[in-house]
Amino acid sequence: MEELGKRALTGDIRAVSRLIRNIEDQVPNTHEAIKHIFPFTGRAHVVGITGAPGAGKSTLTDQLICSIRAQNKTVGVMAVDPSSPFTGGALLGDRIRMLRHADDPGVFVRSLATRGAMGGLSKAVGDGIHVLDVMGKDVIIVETVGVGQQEVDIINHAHTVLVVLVPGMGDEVQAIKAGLMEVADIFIINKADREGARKLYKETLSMMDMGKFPSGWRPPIVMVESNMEPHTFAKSVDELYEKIQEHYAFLKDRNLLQERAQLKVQTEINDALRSAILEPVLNKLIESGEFDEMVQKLLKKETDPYTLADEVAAKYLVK
Amino acid sequence: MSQIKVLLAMTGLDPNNKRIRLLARTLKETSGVEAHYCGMYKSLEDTATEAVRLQVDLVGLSIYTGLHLTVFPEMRRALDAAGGGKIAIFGEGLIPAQDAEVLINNGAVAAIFPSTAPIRNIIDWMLHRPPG
Repeated sequence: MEELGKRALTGDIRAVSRLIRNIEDQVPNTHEAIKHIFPFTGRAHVVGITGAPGAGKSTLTDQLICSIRAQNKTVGVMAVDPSSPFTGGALLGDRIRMLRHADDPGVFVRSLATRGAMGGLSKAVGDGIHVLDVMGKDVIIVETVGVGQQEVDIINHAHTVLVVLVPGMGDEVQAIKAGLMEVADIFIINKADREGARKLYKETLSMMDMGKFPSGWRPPIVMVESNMEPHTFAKSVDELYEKIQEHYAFLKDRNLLQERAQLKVQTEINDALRSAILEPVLNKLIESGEFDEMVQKLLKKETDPYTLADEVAAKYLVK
Repeated sequence: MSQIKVLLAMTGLDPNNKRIRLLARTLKETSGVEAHYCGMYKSLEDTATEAVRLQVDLVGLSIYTGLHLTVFPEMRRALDAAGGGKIAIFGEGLIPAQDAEVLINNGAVAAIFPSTAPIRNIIDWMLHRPPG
């Protein structure tokens, strides 16, 4: 496993691919490889892109790759798709839109399916970013569907967060509900040639007037029009990339990068503790059948979850 | 917790993607298999690169153009060249039984399902295939 980590450091595509697959599958000693690469992480600019399904995240990412490559920077993309919570199955097809970069060695695009495991989403994404980072990618784009707390958590791994809104989806309210307004560093109003784009722009603007920006960065709103006009579309995305760089420079100038990094390592230690402490205990309980017993007891109202948790804690926690 | 992972692909100018989309959808909703569908009109080389990057267990190719005797061995070569020697191939489409036999015997594919076979058969085969 350590060998795999070493090979990933040299940018070996197959090693990187295998490593990410192991992260997805939660192969037990994958941690060994991550231990090996961890000291070399933290060089890339991580950009998170989130928004409702169908907002155009993949299409934007695809064009963003072009803008970044035009500056001779390398790109890693991780498209995160939640697996079905019922079957564990997943259907991923993001890269239908990104295959045009398949021949470019400076671009590595990878879908990541998130198996339903506890806290697994954030952990897998965090580790995946590390792998792309040590592979030597200058910019890493993490694309995720912005619904649910877990997806919002991914934001903790990014330096710059883009929130994609589209007109006509009742989005301004949806976005607040999803907790997306607070995390955005840059708003994108996509499909801005559609009806309702101006309205959405004004609403987003007035909502921002209510917000406070303790860091001093007021999120800009970038309008991006349909990709049916390749030229103007490319131009809007170039502008978007300028804003992204501006934000990164802002973070650097104000020493805020450190703050983001701190948020990231906090998330990471949280996840690592979870997998080192909680998961083994839970696995034991499930294997021994105790977990089912507890469920049955709770159903009969013989006890309550907190008493049970205290009992388990008393048994496994050594103070 | 290792999960089966498949890349479903179409190649050339073959537009008959209904069955493969149905397969992808059924896999997601009933089986717990992770299915990646790349869309139509893809080259075999791109498909192979993608399969290696995703580290899939299987590549499923749907062919309705009658070119199966050429395409499947080419797909095998492309995968081997990309470093995906361990990735197995299965086929789906308008493929006569005698052609299927030829392709299985010459090692190009692990299994072939005619367009009349129920989707369930394909999934059962995937789930009960010996690993490796």
